[in-house]
Amino acid sequence: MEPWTNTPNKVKPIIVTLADGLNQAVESIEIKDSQSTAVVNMDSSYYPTVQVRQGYSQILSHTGYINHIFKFKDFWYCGNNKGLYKRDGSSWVPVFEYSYTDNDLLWRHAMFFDGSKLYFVNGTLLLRQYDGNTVTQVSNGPFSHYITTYMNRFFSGTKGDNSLSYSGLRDANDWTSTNKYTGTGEIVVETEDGEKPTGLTHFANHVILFKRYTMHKLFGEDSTNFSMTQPYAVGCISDRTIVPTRDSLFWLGPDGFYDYMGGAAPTKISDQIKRYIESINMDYAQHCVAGTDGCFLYLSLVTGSATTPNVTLKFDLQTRGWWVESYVATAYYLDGTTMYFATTDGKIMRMGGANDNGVPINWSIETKPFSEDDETVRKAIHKLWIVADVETGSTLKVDYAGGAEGGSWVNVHNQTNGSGQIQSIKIPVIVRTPETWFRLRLSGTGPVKIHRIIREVSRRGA
Amino acid sequence: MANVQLPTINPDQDIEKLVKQLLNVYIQLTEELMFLLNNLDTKNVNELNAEVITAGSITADKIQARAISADKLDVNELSAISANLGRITAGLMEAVEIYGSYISTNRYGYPKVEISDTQDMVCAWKSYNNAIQVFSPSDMFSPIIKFITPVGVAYIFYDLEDNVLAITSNTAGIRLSTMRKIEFNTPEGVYINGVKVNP
Repeated sequence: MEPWTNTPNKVKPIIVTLADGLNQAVESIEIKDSQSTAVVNMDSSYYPTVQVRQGYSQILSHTGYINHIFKFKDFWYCGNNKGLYKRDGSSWVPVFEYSYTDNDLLWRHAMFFDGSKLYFVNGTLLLRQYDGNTVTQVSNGPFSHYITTYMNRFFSGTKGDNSLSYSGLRDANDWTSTNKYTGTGEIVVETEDGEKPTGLTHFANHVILFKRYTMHKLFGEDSTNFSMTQPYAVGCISDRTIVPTRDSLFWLGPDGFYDYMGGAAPTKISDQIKRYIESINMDYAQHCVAGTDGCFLYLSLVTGSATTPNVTLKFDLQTRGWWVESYVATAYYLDGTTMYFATTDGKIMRMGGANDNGVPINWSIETKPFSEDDETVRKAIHKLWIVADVETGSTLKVDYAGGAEGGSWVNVHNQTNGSGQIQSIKIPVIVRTPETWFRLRLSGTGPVKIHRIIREVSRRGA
Repeated sequence: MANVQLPTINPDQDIEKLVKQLLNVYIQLTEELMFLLNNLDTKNVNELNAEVITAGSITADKIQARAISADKLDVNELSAISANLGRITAGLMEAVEIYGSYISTNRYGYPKVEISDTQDMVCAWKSYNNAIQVFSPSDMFSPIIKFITPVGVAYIFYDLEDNVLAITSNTAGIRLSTMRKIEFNTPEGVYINGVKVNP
C-alpha cells in the first residue's frame, strides 16, 4: 500500500528551452513555454539554446543619418541625408552631394550586367550612372524612386506615377527605342484605390511592383507580352524593407511583415511583434529598413513619434522566432558572410564579436507565466536548475515573480563571473506566497548561453 | 516566355515546410502556365497545323514577302489572279490571246519586231534608224508602210482622198526594173507631172 502523501506535492521536474523568441500575438499565458514575453539582445543562433547575440564594432564613421551602405569595386559607399559618398583611403569623397540636408534623401542603387557600372537614384534625381570615378546622367533616363534590374533590362518606378518604365534590352542607357522586342516602354499599373508605387524589386523570375496595399507581379519579357497579374492585396510601406532571401521575399506592409515564396499568397509573419508593428509612425514608415545575413532577417522600425528608425528586431529564418536588439540600424549590407549596418549618427558597424563596440552587451529574457498546466491551484517553485554556459567575465542574474503579470521581481541568483563552461546551476527558491502563475527573468552582461531551465514546483491542495 | 524556372524542393525537411513549399511551387506553376496559355508565341510552340485557323482569317500582312512559291498555288488560269502581272518571264506560251499589249522581240537591242496597239502598229527594226513600219495616220489614208533609213524615208499607202496608191519619198528615187516588160493598163491615161502622156 502506497503511503499517504502529504502536501505540498512535488511534481516532476519540467524542462524548458527559451529559444523561440518573443511572442506578442496572444496573451502571455497562451504562448509556448519556449517563447518569451520580453527579450533583449538574445537570439537562437544555436537553437534550441538561447544565447546572447553577437556584438558589433565600428569600422567607419561619416556624419548624418546614413540610409544606404554598399561596396562597389571594393570601395565602401554610403548615402546619408546630404549625399552619396565613396570611401577613398581615409576620407569620404562625394559622388553626389547637395548643399543641404534632408532625411528624405533615401538612396537606392542597382548594378547592370557585368557590374562595371552602378546606377543610383534618391527620389529627386534623374537616373545617374557611375563607373567608380565619374557620374553621368543617363540620357532620357527616368526620374525614379525605385530601380531594379532583371531580364537584361532596367525597371524604374516613381512614387507619383503609375507607370513602370523599362529600358532597352541589354542597354541601361536606352530609354527611347521602340522595337517591340528589344525596345523600351512603359506599363501602366493602376489600382482602384488610386495608390502609387511604393517599392520595386524582382524575385522568383518576376519583377514585382508594390503599392501601399497591393503587390503586382510582372510576367513576360518584352512589349509583346508584358502583363501584370491580378494583384495580391498585400502592399508595402517601405521599399527599404524589401529583402530577398534564397527561399522568400520579405517586406514591411502597412499591417505587418510579410513572407512571399513566389507562388502562394504572402503570409504575415509579424504577429509575434505586433505591438511594435502597431506603433510604427506611418508618416515616416518609408525610413523603415531591413537586411539579412542569411540566418536572420533584421528589421528596423520607426515607431512612436520617431522620424528615423528607433527599434531593431531580428527574425530567425529557420525557427521563425523574433528577437529584439538594443542597437538601432538605419541601413544594412551583407558582404559575403559579414553583415554591416549603419546608424543615424553616421557610423558603419561590422557585426561580430562579443561586445558592442567595446561595451559589454546587456541582455535579458523573460519567460511566460508558467502554470504547470494547472490553473486551479496555487503553487511555488522551490528549485531551479539553469543549464548555462556563462563566459568568463559575463554575469547571470535570475529573478522570480508570481502572477501572470506585474508584481515585484525577487532576485534568486547572481553570478558575477562565469566559468566559460557549461554548468548546471542549482538555484534554491524560497516562495512564501504560492501563486497560480510564476515567471522567470534571466539577465546579465556579456556572452551567455542558456541551454535549458529545469524547474521543480510544489502544488498546494493537489 | 518559355523560360519557366521553379524552385527546387529539398525533400529532406520537416513535412510542414515541405507541404508549404510544394503548395508554393504548385501555385507558381499554375501562374506560369496560365501566362503561357495566354501568351503563346513561337518560343512555346514546336509544331502547328492549320486545323484551328479560322477560314479566311489570314490577312496579307501576315504573309511574308516572296514566301509563296508557285507549287503552292492551285490556279488553272492566270486570269484567276485579277491583278497586273507586272514584268514576267516566260518560257513557252501556247494558245494565248493577247489584247492591248506592246510586244517586242528584243527588249534592249536590234533587230527586233514591235507590235503595238498605238498608231505605230508594226515595226521591223534592223537598227535604231533602219526599219519598215506600218503605222496608222490620223487622216484619210490607209495604214502606211513607212521605210526608215539613215538617208531618208519613203511611204506606200492608199490615198483615200485622191483614190490612188501612193509611193512617195522626199529623198529617194523610185526604180522599176525587170528583165521582162512593164505594162500600164489604164483607161484614164498616164500622167507625168500632171501632163497626160499619149502612148
